[in-house]
Amino acid sequence: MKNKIGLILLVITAALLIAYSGKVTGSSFNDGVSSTGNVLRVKDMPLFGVANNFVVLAGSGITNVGTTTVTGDIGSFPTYSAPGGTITFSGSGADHGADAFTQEAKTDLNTAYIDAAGRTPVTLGTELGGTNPAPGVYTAGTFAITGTLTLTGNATDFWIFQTSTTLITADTSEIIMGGTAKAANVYWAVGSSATLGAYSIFKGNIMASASITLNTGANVEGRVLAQTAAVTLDGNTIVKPVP
Amino acid sequence: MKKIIGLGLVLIIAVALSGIGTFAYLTDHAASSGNSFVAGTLDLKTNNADGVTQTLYAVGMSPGATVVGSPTITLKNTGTVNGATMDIVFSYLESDGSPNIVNKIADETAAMIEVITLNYGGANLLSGISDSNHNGYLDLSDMRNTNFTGLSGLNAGIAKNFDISIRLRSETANDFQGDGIDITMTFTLKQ
Repeated sequence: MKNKIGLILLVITAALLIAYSGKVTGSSFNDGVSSTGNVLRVKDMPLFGVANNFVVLAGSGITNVGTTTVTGDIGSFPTYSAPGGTITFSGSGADHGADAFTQEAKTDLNTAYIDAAGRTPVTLGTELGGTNPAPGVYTAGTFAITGTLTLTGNATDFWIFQTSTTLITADTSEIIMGGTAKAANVYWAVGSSATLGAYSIFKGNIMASASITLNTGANVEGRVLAQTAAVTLDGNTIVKPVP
Repeated sequence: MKKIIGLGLVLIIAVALSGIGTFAYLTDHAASSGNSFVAGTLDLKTNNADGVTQTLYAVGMSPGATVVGSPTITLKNTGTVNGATMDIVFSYLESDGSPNIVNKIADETAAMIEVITLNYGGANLLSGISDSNHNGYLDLSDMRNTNFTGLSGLNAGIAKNFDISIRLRSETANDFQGDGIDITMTFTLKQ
């Protein structure tokens, strides 16, 4: 009987010592703290994928006269032709011709265009010059800019302008970004072709179903992305917008 | 004899209860030195608090953009005994916005977010990360899969900075629109 009691006591003592030991070494000598609520989320705007690296994309070639300066890649798929004139790459960018990179960019451009063109819009008049539309999605059969279009908002605001046919800007017309709004967040989903007037100042990413023509000296902070036809340049400056 | 056995049981229970009481008291407030227990505190703070929120926060990330914000966390041992090592664990959950045209799971979104800076106490932790998803760069998914244990600790009263910066890859495609993750970073100071 005494032996049994002694054995029980021994087992109880050992169990308690093990439990005690585990708690001390397992918990008492560590201290943990956390950083929480670190939310990272991609913006709810059309994303260009590989085309994000391009400032000029075409479907049937790029033509150029004079000296055009670009910051970013250029390319044309499925048909490529040497642009002519002088293309100066400022800081970054290269002519990818019709390589696989350009082909992938064209696919991503098509996806972004479908997204931009498919969003539910508010209908506006044709002439955007002299207006300051709030951030949003707008449509018209054609858009024109004569004089100055102002886009005022914050850094995460965006504008999508949809046309079923053309976008035409007048010579020396201008788009001004107000507040902290970014040219990167302005999208032009053009149903056929876009034409920018001579020495005009344009902001935003043009996604045209067919062709895009930049007349002499037109200046773009954005992208010039044509799906099926050509991009025509004439001594222009095209700067990839700050994201 | 029964009295002796009873006394023994009472003694064992008393010792056990004492141990539990000491355990409760010693949690985050005890130290071990050599083979003897030494009273003291081990108390890790983040930015002088018991936790920090939204060190990294961006709900409208643009491809190619680097998140700035305030990507530094100051870790300080405000206790009285030294912490020998630090463990850092990263985890994340899906945190999508709306609209979400195509749903990408958290691992896919994390793989599009490149880690640009990852420092602790002046040491570059990027060199300890492997490109586990083989996409050619180090991203938050790779970081989550890395075991950051046994990093240099914090002596009593000493602080070290943890720095992180990231950017959304420029080639992020339209399918990621509105997709997001919610990251938790846990720092454990060990004696």
